[in-house]
Amino acid sequence: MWQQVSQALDQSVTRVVTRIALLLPGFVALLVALLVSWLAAWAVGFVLRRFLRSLEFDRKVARWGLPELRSETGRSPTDIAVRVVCWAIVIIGFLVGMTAFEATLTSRIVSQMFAYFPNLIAAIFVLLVGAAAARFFSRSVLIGAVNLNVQYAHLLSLGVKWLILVLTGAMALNHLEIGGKIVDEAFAILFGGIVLTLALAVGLGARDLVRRSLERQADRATEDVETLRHF
Amino acid sequence: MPELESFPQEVKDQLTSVGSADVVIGFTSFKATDDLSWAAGLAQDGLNVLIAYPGGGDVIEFQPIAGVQFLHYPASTPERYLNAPKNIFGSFQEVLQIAQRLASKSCCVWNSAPQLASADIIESLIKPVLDQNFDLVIPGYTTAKFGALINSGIICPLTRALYGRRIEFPMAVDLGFSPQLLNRLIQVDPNTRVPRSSQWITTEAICAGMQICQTALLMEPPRPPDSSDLSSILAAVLGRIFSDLERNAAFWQRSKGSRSAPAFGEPYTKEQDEVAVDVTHLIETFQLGYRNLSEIWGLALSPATFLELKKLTKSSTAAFRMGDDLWVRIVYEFALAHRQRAMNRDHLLRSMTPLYLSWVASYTLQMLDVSADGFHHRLEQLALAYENQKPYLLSRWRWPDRFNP
Repeated sequence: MWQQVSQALDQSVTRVVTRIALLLPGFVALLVALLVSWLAAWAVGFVLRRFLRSLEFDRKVARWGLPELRSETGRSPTDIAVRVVCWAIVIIGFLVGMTAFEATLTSRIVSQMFAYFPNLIAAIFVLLVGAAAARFFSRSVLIGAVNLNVQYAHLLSLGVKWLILVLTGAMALNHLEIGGKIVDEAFAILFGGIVLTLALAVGLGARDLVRRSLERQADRATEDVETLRHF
Repeated sequence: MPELESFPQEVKDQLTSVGSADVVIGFTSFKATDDLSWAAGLAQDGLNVLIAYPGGGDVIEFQPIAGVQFLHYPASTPERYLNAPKNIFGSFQEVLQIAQRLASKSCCVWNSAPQLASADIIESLIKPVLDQNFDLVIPGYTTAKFGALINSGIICPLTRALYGRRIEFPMAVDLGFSPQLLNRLIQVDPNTRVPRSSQWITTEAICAGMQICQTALLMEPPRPPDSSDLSSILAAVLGRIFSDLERNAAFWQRSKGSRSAPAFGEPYTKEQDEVAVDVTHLIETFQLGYRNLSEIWGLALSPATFLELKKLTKSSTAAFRMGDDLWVRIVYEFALAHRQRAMNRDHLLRSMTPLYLSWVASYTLQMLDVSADGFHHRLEQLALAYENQKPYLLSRWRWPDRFNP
């Protein structure tokens, strides 16, 4: 009996050690892949940084109308581009290392990750564009409202900003296939709710206020024409 | 030599049949009901006159006038003029091309309402070119203490300080040209890749060393088509001026002091009745701007300027005064921010509206009981402030990264 127990233990230890021995090359391969990808990322980053600087990339980005990128992130556009490329290389190296494991599960996870990759990129792109658009339009509304002497200019600008951000978030989640129909419905309820609230607020609660405000604007415009000529 | 490729064949044929003209008068907008009988007065001097008028549709049948011919050209110019605030100063390319093709000795482009034109007015724009070899004749419109405030507060003194020429209305839109200047304006600027005529013509002429004069016209400066949108007009005007600063940096950095451009005719100042101008809403807009646009202004203005603005927000309406030095610093610092692309340029320029209104409020309060002489003296003081502060702009233009408290 004891002999059988001992034999079973031997066999299980052998199996575990064999499994570990089988996994070990995979781990080593993963480490090597990570190391190589890190070195490649560093080299590519170095070359890319010099290349972008020679092109005066930061100045060109500012010229394309994205001068706030630096103030938003605290990094220059060159830094951001180099970081994105370096991290992409490291992640690719990690995925290559993962496929070195012969286990079917890891291969499946990796292939699913690769299949999901375009969705991720699309979602990131949507988020970036949405954030930029939210900032641009909220600032446009803020400046326009201040120039028209609208007292609640900041509130209007905040409203526009969050409307675009909510829309962008819903689109990004859609791309990531997270939440399914719940996101669509939640967004429709939220968006519809905001519009309905605003309509009710203006239509019922603030009707007189809006009318008075518009009348005041018209009166001021007429006064200006009579006395002050800007051009 | 640029050809009139965009013109229909019948216009080209008509130009060929006309052959040449001493004077070309080009309107940038025209209606069939507009009267042109005054043109006979020009032809009496023995001048061979061609009047070019735009239109998209039918050719207008005019009463024949001896020595005057009429030419209908494609209507691209007035459409651009009417629809886009960016082009509020019009594009004269077509008229200038016609004048060049006909080898005219003088060309006048009329951008104001056609019914305001008369033989005397047109003659005052073309005679200095024909008789005294001037290259550009700029009208001196009627001035008023509460009129043309963008011109009085920014365009005129800034042009004087930077380009060294004292011109009352540097952005006037009714102009007289010599053949030398129109040949230059038709050419495409290699830096901007657009015809020079669609850039700011006055600074083009100054930088090219052309002879410039002013002629007094008894008419108010024309308003842009949509003059109710102050923010758009201000952004268009400032955008044009600031872009020009970049293009002509080599010229204005060397220019020192200022000298008057020769003037013809007696300038007329319109006496405005004493009116009670309420500037409360202008000050309110400025205060609202300070509360909401500080983040944007902070990207353009230096801390010292910002501090001055903070003090200004606490002034009562009666004591609201913006010093000339402060106003000039604001204009120069916005020009620098525009050059450095500190943020989206349209946002930057539009965000200047409350600051401009605060200057208008301060100026209006100062001018309420002032006579025409006092008003000219006040504007002279402002122009001198622009000239005195030019070294500040120059220094920050050349060394933008230097510490600026």
